[in-house]
Amino acid sequence: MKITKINNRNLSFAEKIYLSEIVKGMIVTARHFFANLFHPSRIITVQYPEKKIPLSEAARFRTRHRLKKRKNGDAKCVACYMCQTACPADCIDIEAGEKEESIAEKYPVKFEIDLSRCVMCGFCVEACPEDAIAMDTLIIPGGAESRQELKLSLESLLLDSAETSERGAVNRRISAMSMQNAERKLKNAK
Amino acid sequence: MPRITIDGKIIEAEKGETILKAAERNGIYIPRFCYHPALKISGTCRMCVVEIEKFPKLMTSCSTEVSEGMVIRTDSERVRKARKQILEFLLLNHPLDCPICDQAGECFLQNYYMDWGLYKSRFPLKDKMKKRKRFDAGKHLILDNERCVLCTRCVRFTREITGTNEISVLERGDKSYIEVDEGGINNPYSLNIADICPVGAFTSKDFRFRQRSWFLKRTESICLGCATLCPVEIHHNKGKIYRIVPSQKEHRWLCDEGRLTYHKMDRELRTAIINGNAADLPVALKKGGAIITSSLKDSSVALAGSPYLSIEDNASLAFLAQKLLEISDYTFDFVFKQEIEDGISINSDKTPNSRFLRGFARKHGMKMTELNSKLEKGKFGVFICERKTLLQFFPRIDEKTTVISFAFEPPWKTPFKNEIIFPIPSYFQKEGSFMDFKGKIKKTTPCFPASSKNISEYLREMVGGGNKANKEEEQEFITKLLSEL
Repeated sequence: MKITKINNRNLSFAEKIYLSEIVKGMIVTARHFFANLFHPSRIITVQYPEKKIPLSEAARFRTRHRLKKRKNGDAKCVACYMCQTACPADCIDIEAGEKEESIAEKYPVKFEIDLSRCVMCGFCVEACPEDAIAMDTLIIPGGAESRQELKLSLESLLLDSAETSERGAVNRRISAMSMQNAERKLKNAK
Repeated sequence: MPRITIDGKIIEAEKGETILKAAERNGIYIPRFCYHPALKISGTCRMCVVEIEKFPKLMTSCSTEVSEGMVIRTDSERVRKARKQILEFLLLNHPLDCPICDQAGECFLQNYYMDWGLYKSRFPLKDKMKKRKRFDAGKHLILDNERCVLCTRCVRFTREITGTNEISVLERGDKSYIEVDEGGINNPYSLNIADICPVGAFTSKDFRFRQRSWFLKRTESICLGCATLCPVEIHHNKGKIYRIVPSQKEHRWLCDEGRLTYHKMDRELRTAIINGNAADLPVALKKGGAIITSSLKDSSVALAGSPYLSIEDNASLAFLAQKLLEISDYTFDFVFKQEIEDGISINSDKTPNSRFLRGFARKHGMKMTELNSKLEKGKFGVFICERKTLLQFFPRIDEKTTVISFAFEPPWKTPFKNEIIFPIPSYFQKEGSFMDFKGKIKKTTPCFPASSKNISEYLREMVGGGNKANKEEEQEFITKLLSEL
């Protein structure tokens, strides 16, 4: 392997004593402070987690799981354990039951996803032979006050359509932010 | 001894042996559905076809006997093609049930498809033959006719092994199906059918949907349901047993009763019980200890071994009776009639270790009749015994006598007035040697660690005379006894 040595530029005297650099930094801070003070609508940060930026519709992120339903309202899941088998974080816990009258004789009595263990890899979605699990709710799981809150039960996974309609909320701010970041990076590179 | 060549390997086969058996003995696996080593040959599935030189057609290896100079190919292009086409026929009307089928993971169809099939289905889903799905086929079984490949293993099992003839094949062609008699399959070996079914047609009601086969860990052990002590494989996961199947090494038909013995693990006793109420272990130990020490003063302590306990446990009971309690009123004399009445595997003796005790009682302890007559006189303050065996003594035990017993499942009804029960681990949780009805020593293997203490530990804690009978001596006594057997 070839080793490249990088000789950092020596600091000048003004830079070495830091004073001028501190002043430069304070000017930037002060500029933002006054800009935000007089034009609060232009603030680009939000008070997370009280406020959250809705994700863009085009976003193809893997977000919180949901279980799909059949037309009659039953879960599409047949408790085949493929997702539990594929899960590298061992966060899915299923218990199967038997139903006489439904389309498939097997159904999940318990379907629990432990979000505190989940690594959002999407293997469960890949493994599902029934297309019953999806990660398209656009809800990004965050913190919780107790570990129990991070365990998704079967009921909470079977979100109804009203809850899944969260997707589609377009957020220009987030795209604008990413544009600004990209521009800044380009400038720095030059 | 005919010499044959299989896949270029020269093999000394036995006279009258089939090609499939000769190949299997030499590590060449030939796929099969209908062939089962313990059943008669039927040759219906055609999956085991092989190419034999100078034979115009492919031959079924399960039913063709070897002859001198045969040259057999099990992996040629022609055989592979034949297997693929046979699989396509078998899967023609097979439903897409794998996600809900219990057999998935250990299904012959799945495995062979991955090995030799891998074709794209040419048969539209809507044209598949519809048959009767998921119906009761007896006390322990559920039948799904759509999944059946008509290998007739189950039919031959009920004809040849149990002789009950509950299953038969009706109709012809793609309409043919397995029919079960009106009463269902209720013979005592019915769960073997779920085992030998190569696909998911017959499934066990007990195991159904409880766990996927690929999660199960397998432990070789023995069944303690009766004195036959069948070798079994215990399938368990995360500290829970899901099923017991016959051992793969030594095939024997396992009875339904023996298969379901693991259910006592669900009712595992975890606390001590004093007079029918759950109690803390230290409280029970203190109470038991006080009673034993006061009874030891006027030597009114009796003890009995148990045919339900292993050789090690019985030996340590005998050792402690002699050295720790220093009593003479103890017995290991249990005699039961031992015989396999139906000629398959169920023994008339339901205790796993009475054959051992027959020999052991000659050297240790008094006769059962002696102890019984003493019990009837009611001279004992304490009677120590395993809980299942204790019931045998029940009518003879005096009301004033305190009974100290050991159990691994809670006995909720107690006929005794004064009773202390301590939890002990079952033989799914600890190792133990047993002697079967033929006199062979067999061992259990623990599936997971025990959650309670052994009998000898309880007795030591209660009596507290650790110096009188030390543990090394006890261990020596047990190892000496085992080496003598």
